[in-house]
Amino acid sequence: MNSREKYVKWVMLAPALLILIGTTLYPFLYSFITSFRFWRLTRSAEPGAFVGLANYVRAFGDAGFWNSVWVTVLFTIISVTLSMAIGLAIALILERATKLNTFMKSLLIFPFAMAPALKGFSWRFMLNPDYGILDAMIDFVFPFWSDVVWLGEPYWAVFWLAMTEIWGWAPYIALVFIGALGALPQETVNAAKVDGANTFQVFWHVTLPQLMPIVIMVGLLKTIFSVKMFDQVVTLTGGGPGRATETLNFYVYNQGFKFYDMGYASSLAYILVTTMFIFAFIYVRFLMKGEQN
Amino acid sequence: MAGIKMVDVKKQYPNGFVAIENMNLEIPDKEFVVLVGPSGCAKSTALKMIAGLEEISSGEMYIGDRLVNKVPPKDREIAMVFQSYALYPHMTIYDNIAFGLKMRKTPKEEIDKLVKEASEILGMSDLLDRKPRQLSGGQRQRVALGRAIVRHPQVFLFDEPLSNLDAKLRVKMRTELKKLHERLHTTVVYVTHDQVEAMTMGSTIVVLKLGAIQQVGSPLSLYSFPSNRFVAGFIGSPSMNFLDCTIAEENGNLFVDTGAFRLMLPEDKAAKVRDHGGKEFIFGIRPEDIRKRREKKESYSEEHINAKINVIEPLGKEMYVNLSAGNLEFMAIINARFPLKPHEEVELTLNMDRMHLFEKEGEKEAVAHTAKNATTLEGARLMADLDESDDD
Amino acid sequence: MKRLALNLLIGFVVVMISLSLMAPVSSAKLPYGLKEGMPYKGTKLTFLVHNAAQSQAQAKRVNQFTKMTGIEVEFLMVPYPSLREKITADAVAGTGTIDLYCFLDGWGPSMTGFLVPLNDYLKRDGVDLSAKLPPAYIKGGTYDGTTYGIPTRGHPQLLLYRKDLFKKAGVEVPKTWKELIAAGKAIKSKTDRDGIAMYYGKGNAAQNLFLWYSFLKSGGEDIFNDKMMPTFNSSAGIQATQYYVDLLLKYQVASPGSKFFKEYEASQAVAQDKAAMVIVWWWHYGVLTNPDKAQEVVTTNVGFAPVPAWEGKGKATLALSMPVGISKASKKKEAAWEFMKWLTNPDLEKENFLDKSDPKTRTIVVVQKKNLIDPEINKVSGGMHKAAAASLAVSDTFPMLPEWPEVASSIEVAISNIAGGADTKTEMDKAAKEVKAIMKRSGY
Repeated sequence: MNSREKYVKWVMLAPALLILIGTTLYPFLYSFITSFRFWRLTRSAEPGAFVGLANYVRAFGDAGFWNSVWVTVLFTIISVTLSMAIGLAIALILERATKLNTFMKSLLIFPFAMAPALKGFSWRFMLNPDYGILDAMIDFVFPFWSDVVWLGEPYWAVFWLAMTEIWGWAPYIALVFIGALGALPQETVNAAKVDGANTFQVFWHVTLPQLMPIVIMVGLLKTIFSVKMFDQVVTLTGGGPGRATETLNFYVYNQGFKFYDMGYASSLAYILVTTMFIFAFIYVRFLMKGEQN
Repeated sequence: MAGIKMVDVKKQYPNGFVAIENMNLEIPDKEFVVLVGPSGCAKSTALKMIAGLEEISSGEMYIGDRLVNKVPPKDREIAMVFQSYALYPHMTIYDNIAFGLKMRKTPKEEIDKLVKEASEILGMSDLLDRKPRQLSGGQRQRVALGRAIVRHPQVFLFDEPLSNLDAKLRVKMRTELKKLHERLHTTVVYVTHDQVEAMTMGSTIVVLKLGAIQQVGSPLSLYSFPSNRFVAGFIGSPSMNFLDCTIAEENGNLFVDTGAFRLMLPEDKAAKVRDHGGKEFIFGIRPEDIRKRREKKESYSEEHINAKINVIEPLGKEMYVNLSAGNLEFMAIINARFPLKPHEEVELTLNMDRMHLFEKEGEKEAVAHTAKNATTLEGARLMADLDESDDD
Repeated sequence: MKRLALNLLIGFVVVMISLSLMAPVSSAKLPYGLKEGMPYKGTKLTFLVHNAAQSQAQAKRVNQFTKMTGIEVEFLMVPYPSLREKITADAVAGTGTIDLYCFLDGWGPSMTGFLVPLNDYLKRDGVDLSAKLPPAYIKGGTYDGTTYGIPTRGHPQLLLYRKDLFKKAGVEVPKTWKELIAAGKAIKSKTDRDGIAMYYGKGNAAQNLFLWYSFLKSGGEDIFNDKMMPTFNSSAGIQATQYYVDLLLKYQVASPGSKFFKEYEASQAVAQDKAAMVIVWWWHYGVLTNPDKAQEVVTTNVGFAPVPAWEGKGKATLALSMPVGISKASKKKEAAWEFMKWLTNPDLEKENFLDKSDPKTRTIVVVQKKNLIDPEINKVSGGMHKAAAASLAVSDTFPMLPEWPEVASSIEVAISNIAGGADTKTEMDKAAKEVKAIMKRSGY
């Protein structure tokens, strides 16, 4: 490549790079700086003085913040494990290419394609004790639960919040797994069958270990999406009952756009981002590496 | 130890495609049987049906005396070596070999003993801690073998086990597999698309085409007495020349007339086609049965034919020569010491004792499904003649 | 030479066109104190507002304003839940893309940094807001004595109830909380419906404080004292809160779902014939009489009444309004003010209300004093506006302070927890502690 071509290459890339910097890097840095400033929109539309680590220090003494951390962890664990497990189960059921399965697979995309905010709305509607169809179905199957107001109980609210997420994601994860399963060599499965493994043993000793790289990758992505989840908190529970479903992202949003404390919101957002980064780093470094050796 | 018996076995896929129609085959105990055929002949499907990896649509499959139609693979007491080796990539070599034993709940010490024993037989005791991806193709092949032999199964199934190896290693492994068979003394069903591999390894060869058995027999009987044109063309390399011809009669003698040349039929063959004067046949002659005319030899045709050399492929000891006579084209293997050049005219003699005649039933014959459709006029060639093939 | 001729021609054409445009309007005097002579002609304004029926009706008639002033107005309509975010984003960007914001009264004090004080404009044009609007609506647009917004949409609370169920249960429309509980019990036992649909759930707009505020205020307590320190956890405050949640917990006249309901779901409980009463913003009357949104038995039987109060104590209800204000970053403030004058005129409001051509516009309301007692309007609404005017006379807004959203969030959590079974005093004390910290951080 001569220098002229090099030059042309950068000229061609420039618009894309500028957009990338403008839309990604700039806000990223701007909010980082903001996290060290006093900036309450109730006082001024302009950022105020630098206050060092004050915003970060405040977070560590903020019970609401720690509550949201706990809620986020709980929600993430439930939604990640269940959407992966259910996704894998669906994938194993629909793996074989029959006409019915092809039809079912095309249905799988619908829950995922649904806007997250709408997921929250529709589940809230379905869980309404007066006219919700899901509530009615549960009451029918489990009469001893008929008095439970699902979104009025703290742990149930977290569970249903996770369900909206699982409902959307498990089918999508299933599609990913179906693809991955299709790419796995059938011969190792056959070899295991001949070697004397039953269906479960084949899955456990042969299929699952070979699927692990994808499982780990999907697990990482799902974890990030779960931690970031926002829309359904707003539309399903509003963070309630009490603060039972106030996730970290929701808490950050409230601090910033509801309470207008931009400095504090930025510092919380950075704690979230940093934690995610460390998590992802450890995850990639150890789990994914471990898979390769 | 057990033999295998297939009775009217049929394989039809849900989309209606019939892969195998009424296959009948009996494989005696301890035999090394090769299933051979071009791709799409359902040889692997047949193997998988023996293994239980493919369901049988109808018919009966026996291993030993046991009807195994509904028996899952794990209970068939078979071991299988796959084309891609199918090693478990996440397990060490030790665990790969031990997997089948673990699944059968063999005691730990027993497993250890058996794995070590198998790895010694295959000379890979020092590889046991590695993972498959750290091994070469040949080593992986051995692991796959080890995984099969460690279980002391009743039947070994090999699905093109050598096709992923380079040519040199393949030749070496052929010998090793044969040795292994002698040592283990177990029934082996071996699938390959390579007729050379089939010829060198099998004690019995089953030639398949489009899901139907064409011929079953020893390597030499297939070579010498192919039951139809397909087998004749498939077995032997380079493959047999096929030339359209008619049978002409003159003074009580019968001749093969290809248009380009006319050769007298030996008496024993003439007897079989005496009633077919004027009918169209296919004249088959292997390249190794065509020679440059130098001196008359008893079994070679009295008459010589003239041909023009198109292409010469020297192989060292001999050369493959592509020739034309009239508008016919054919191949001959000629001793390398003759100083032939392309575009030269050359005089050839044919070993008429080893020629074949196939009935011509239009193009239909070539795609016929069963051996019955292709009536054989076996070449009157004796096995003893083989020695004589190219040493002058 | 040629050039001069061309210039002359262009000049002539321009003058002719201008004259022809001016002609029809320059003859009559403009209403609502709009400036004569189209001084802002050609100006294009952008108005950020939520997509309520009211806004749509206004947008439909905005060409009246354009005809009189030559100012064009684009209505930028967004769903209510994202309105605050949109305002904030635009204000912080400070580009002046949007000239006018419609906002919730409670947000106003926290948004004063984004809004133009309107006092000078009002004074200049001689507009007397107190003559036009009920006090609670004026308060909703005012912070610290400065006016930042004038509402075109506002709501008092009303008790909406099912006349047929009340008749069947043999009870009168309640005037006190005690009567309401008794009526609820009678309805529950005789009609198999829940007495009242409450909304104790936590949402994003502190809806579970609407009725709590009525209980608290008419119980004689307030959220803050004069020094802006929380008083809602006083014994009177706790008693009022307890009474409020006991409709569900102790007296069990409220729908079980009340525990997590938001306002709209409570209203829907009545719409779906599950509950007999609900106390909500008056525009829900438009929902409950709408055959598309409510069952027929509901639409034909729903009635309205003032919000009940404590026995022997004063009445107090909450009012809410959506003021319109001018963005500080706007480069067309004068034109924007012209638009506000037109937008807040009573004729437009009346015309919008009486136009029932589109069934979606049922939830349109009026806020102007003149219209609230207008006989024509009351004839159409069955006297609801007169009832509302009475309610508005004793209405108040939530405390007008910048920290209100944060304060409301703390109390909202406490109410939600109490409705879920937590101890009232513990939760109210905890909320008070949080509110104290919020106020302290803000320097009170």
